[in-house]
Amino acid sequence: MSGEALNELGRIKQSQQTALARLRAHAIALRAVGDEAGANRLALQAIALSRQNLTLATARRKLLLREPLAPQTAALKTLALQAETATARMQALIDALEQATRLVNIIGRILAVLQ
Amino acid sequence: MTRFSACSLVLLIGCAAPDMTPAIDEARLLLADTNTSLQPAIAPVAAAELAAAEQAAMAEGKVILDLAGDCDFEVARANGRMVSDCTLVENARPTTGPVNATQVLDAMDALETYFAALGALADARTSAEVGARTKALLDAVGKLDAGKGADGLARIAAAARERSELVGGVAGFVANQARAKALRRVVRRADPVIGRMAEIAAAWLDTQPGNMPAAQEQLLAAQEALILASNPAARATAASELRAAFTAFRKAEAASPATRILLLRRMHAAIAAGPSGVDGFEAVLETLEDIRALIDLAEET
Repeated sequence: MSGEALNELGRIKQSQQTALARLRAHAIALRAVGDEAGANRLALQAIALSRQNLTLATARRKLLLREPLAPQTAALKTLALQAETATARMQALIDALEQATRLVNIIGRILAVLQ
Repeated sequence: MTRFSACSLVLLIGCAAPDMTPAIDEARLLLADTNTSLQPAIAPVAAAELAAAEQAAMAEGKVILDLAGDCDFEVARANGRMVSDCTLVENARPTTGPVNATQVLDAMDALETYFAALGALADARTSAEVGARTKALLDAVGKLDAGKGADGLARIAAAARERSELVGGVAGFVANQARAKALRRVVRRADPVIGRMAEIAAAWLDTQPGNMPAAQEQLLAAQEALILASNPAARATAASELRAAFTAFRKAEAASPATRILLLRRMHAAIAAGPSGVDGFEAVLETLEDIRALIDLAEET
């Protein structure tokens, strides 16, 4: 339920971003042609919309902060451990190959002495 | 011929797994930079949280500290270790309940550990080393012969000599594939975890002093004041306040740890998408551009 609410809030914010950029661009365009009143009206609308966005963002933050962070942290630590284990396995293979090479070299020297 | 033979063995050796190292290195740099600015700001808050939690626990008659490990130097020496295995466990650390500075710092630590582990796993040198060691082993077997050994041994030695280059290369390739597979598995599993973690941590950081929402509210208020100013003197004051609010807003944007953590989430999502795919590659490039833009802004302000 909270996930759906968060997604909905995300969609609203996206459309508001587009609307904000357009309002500010139109306000600048109107001011450039001398329409101060029109420009101010649009700029104030942009401010009102941005404040509305801040309110939505605050609501979203409140929803997010209800979730505990500790389980995500624990899950990430487990995954880090898995990555470390995979690296260690690779290193163990390298070490085993190195030891096998040493053993073969020793066998070679023994054979040379025996023959 | 099997499907496998579509890529001949020689070609196969040349087929490298996608190199995620540059993207992982970039993410680690971003994380280190975020931690540098974050630690001094929220470590005192975490210390205060711990002190408050300890006081509350002690008031309830709880033991707030424990020793873990052997904590016995005699045992350590007897076992060939010069330093005992001893740590102090803080039982009252506020790691549960509502999101706080302690949990955010723990999350940052976990992210650092994770990206370090990812960096080590992504290091292609380990695969090359497997190939080189395999070839070295076969070369050593090849030298066993020298015409002095038994027939069976001579045949093994001859086979090893003939195949050392090819088998060494294939071993390196197989190791590379195994490494890449492990990397992909870990990254894909971690992505939703990091996504949620970054959102929650950023939400908390955006409630702290000097946060972006407060800077934006001040910017909007300053612009509104300028538009509504009724005389030239008021307009001049409001204009000066808007300039100051704009500078503060840009500075807050450049320094915002929440923005950086959200950028790190995007960086990881791009790594998880895989740089071999077109979408994944573009996502990595876009995120790198965003990181550069953020760094440029930090240098400007």
